[in-house]
Amino acid sequence: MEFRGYMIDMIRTELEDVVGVEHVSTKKSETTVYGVDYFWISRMWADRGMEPPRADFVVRPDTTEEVSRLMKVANYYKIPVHTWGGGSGSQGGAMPMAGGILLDMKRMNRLVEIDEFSMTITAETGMILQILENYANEKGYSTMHYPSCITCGTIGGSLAHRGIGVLSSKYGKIDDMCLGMEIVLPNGDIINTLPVPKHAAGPDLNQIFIGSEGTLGIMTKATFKIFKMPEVRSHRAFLFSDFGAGVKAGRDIMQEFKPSIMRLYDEPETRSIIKKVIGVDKKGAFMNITCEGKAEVVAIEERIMKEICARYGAEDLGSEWGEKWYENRLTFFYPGHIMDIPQMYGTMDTVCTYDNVEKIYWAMKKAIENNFEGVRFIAHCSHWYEWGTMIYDRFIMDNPPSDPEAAISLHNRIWNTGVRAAMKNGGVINDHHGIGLKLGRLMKEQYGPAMQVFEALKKGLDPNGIMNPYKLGL
Amino acid sequence: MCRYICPVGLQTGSELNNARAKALLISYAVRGQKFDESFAEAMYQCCLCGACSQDCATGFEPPVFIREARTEAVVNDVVPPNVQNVITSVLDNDNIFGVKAEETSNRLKSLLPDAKEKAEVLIYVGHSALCRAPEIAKAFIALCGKAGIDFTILHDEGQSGAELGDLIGYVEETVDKAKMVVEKINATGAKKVVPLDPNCTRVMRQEYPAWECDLKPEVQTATAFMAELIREGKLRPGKIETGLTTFHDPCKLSRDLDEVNEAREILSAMGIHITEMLLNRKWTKCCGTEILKAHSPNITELTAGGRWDDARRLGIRTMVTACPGCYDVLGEHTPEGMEVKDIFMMLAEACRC
Amino acid sequence: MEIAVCVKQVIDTKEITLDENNNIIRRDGMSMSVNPADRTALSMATRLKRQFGGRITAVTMGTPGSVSVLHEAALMGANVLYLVTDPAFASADTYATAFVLSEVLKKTGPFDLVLCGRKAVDGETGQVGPSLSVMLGVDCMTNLIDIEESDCPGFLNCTRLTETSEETYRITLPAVLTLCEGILLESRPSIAALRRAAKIPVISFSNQELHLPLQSVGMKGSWTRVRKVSVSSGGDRECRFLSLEEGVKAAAEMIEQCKESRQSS
Repeated sequence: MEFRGYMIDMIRTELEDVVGVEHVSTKKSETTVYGVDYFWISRMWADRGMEPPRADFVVRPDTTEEVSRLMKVANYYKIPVHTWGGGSGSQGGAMPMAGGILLDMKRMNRLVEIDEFSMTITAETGMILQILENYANEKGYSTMHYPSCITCGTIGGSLAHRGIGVLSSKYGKIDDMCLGMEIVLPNGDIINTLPVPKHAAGPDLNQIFIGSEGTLGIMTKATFKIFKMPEVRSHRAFLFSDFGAGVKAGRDIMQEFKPSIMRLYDEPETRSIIKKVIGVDKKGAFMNITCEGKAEVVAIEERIMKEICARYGAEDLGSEWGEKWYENRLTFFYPGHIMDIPQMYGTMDTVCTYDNVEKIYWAMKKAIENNFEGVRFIAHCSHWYEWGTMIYDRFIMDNPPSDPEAAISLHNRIWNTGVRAAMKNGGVINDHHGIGLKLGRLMKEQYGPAMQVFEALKKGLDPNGIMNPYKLGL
Repeated sequence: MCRYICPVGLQTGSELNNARAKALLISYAVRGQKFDESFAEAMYQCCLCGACSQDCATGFEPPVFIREARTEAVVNDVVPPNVQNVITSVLDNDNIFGVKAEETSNRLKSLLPDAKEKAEVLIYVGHSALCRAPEIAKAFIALCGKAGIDFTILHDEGQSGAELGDLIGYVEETVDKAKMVVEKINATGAKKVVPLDPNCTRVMRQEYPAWECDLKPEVQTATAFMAELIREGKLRPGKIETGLTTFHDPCKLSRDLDEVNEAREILSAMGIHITEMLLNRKWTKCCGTEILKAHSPNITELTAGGRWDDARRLGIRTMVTACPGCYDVLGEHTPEGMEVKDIFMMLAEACRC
Repeated sequence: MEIAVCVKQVIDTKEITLDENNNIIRRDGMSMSVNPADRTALSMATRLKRQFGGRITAVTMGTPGSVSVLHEAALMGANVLYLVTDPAFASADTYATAFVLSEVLKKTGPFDLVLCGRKAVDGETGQVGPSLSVMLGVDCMTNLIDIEESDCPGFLNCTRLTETSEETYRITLPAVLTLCEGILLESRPSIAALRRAAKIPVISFSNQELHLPLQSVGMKGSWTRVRKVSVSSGGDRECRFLSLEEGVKAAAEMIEQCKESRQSS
């Protein structure tokens, strides 16, 4: 739909009427800043001085009612709506690729309630994750959700793409931690999911919206579990002769108890990043494990852990390296350690059952290293389940093409190759970063005929197709 | 990391209000985008409190490049009108409050009419105290008298360069103002200069050497000065009763000047127990600053509110500050049932001055 | 007075990494700035301009990225900015560099005074200034720490730093003078100076404008080649006290050793 003449100004008046004049902006500074997130293509594009994708309006609502009214305005004019939390997504999910409205949720950052008896915390979804954690800490609790984006990502963002934190092996992913939400549907209706996540009242409404990446509605409030601070948090590290041995040990451990952190690094990543950040200079597959909880329970867990690791021939490196890993858990993402422009890189995280882990690891490694010159592959397994684990595999290219469009083309082809290798061997497109703009084109391949379920939801809830167009393959 | 600790961004909820956005805008300007008024406005919506530097893993100090971007804004004539008014006020009258230079001089004269020309200690009152919280200056002077200090003040303080530097950057105009102040201070023959405003202290101690301003006396923070007098027994404060009390660390004092203990020592000497807010000491959450308040009071209303929220969640009744700027900014938005107190006014009360 | 100042862009860091194959210092990703001694040259030019009137022309030869040193030169008082850049000029030694610079100065001159830093922190050869003076056919004085007006018209008084003393000379113009780093630190620019500097255009010269023979520029025009750049391993000292006879014998042995090692290398 094309807007002629001063129609844009008429629409602006309606938006200002909802949120106030000062919270609707078309300033160049704003559309610039909201045109770059953490998606490699978006940052590369900005680095080469290219025009960012600009929203037509940057809008900042303050209440659920304002969001509801905004949806009605957007639907009437059929203007695309893109939801923005921290803008720290790596998949381009928040990018305003269709222009229109960019909704920054961060004014909606209030704490609603901490219920110490039920062990829950409720907050508005525009709150930065570290602030939520601060509120829990003030009362002596923790959300136990420690993603690396904790200082910039928001609650809404984490829910939107089914995010994960470093303690997930014990406490779960964000979708496990969320009890319920308040959501504004595309038609403006405000709904609430049930007060508890476990019930026998039909399909799980929470899980329809969690992971929907802004395509089916806008989450405005959410309730999460909070946990007591553990009596003991004990770190340890081991060195396996190879990746395969480590996977088997991890699987065995998960059958006995849940460590909070368990991370197994393949040989190349051990040799490079682990050596650089932690200082371990050894050949093999490095694994750090953290057990936490009551001291007596942790003592038992550690005994079992040591037995299992010994069974697979691991060298016990003691607690020093495990502690150092924990101290540096964010350092891995800091300048000088994380890949950065001008390199081309990506995390093709996937998740699978144990029988497919090594198959997928080698298939992806071969597919990337054999088909693309100058690209290397490193991986680690960082989030474990009883039935399998996720593989956090990355490709790195030190000298990508200097032409931005050639770079995009190569980038997307590498992704296709890697992700297809995973899917072919029983893996899933992505474990916890989401689909966004980057991987939408692969959704139909992943789901096959099951895709129609999402498409039906999308059509039913968002008949005008205004919610975050071109994302999630919807 | 900057986004979870920027006092402005946390309250306005705008992606523009954090160091990442400002760095991104500067990167784009370097890559050919026009540095227009909207870019300049973003640069001025910042307290320069340094919370972002505290946790920035890149090694950059955002306040440094934000000040440089402000110079760029001035050079390119894209400074927003509300900020330009404040700049003009400083250039014309040496203060951000629009108070005429003659008037500030009169106020200084009435603070200490018989101010000596020469003394061991020079108290640099600063415009925040002079124009917005003169009772702090009165209390400090009374304490010096009680302690028997050989001190004086200037009857014309000029502009230290702290406010002008934050508004237009560290350019010749700022350095010239600083040099005039240095001349006046040096003429007193003082061995020590004690500014009441930590922003002035910071600039005198850390920037004057880089600006080749040869300030002869040692620069001491007001809190360290008083803490020392208490330790030496020159001041003997009695106990003061307060409700649940917290201390708000001034951002320049705790971060830039690396001082967190002296104020707490003073409070302890008065028998006051502090309940610490979550973001305290080097992690203090800036109130907003006088400069931001001067041109964007709508923002400081939010930032002050954010700091009061931190206190309210703990059930705090009294928030103590050690900076005339914090006292004024927080004081203007005190919630019902709570109060802000200045540490030197409390000390003067405790010492029966 | 028409003053030309030659400025060079150098790496602004203590961490230098080398491209082992080409023996070239890696510049990518490094922070660049004006060579410190060239800053003194610019400051001195500004001081002389204030005294005598006239114009300052800043010239730099380098990659297109080295235009940033010209912006800094503009801030410090330069009125005209020349960027000399062409792939053909790359990898030039001091001779080829001086040649290109001298051609530019001849084309855009005449200049009363050419000021340079005495040496650059990356090459530390100190050759460009004196080479320029020969190519321009003018007098040269190096290692200066001060330049002042002379009682004699057409002369300048120069104070020169040697290992042991400071010497003062009188020099006729036109001349090439090279200055020591670390003196005449400039003050902060004013808003007015920043405004003025932003408006000065950068004029580019490539070989299309200069028409210099290709064998006289860049690597082809270089008489010297860098064989190796390495980090100094520090001195290993062993001190022995010798009598005069022992000393003479030891010296003779060392000379033989040097001859042998030169033959074999």
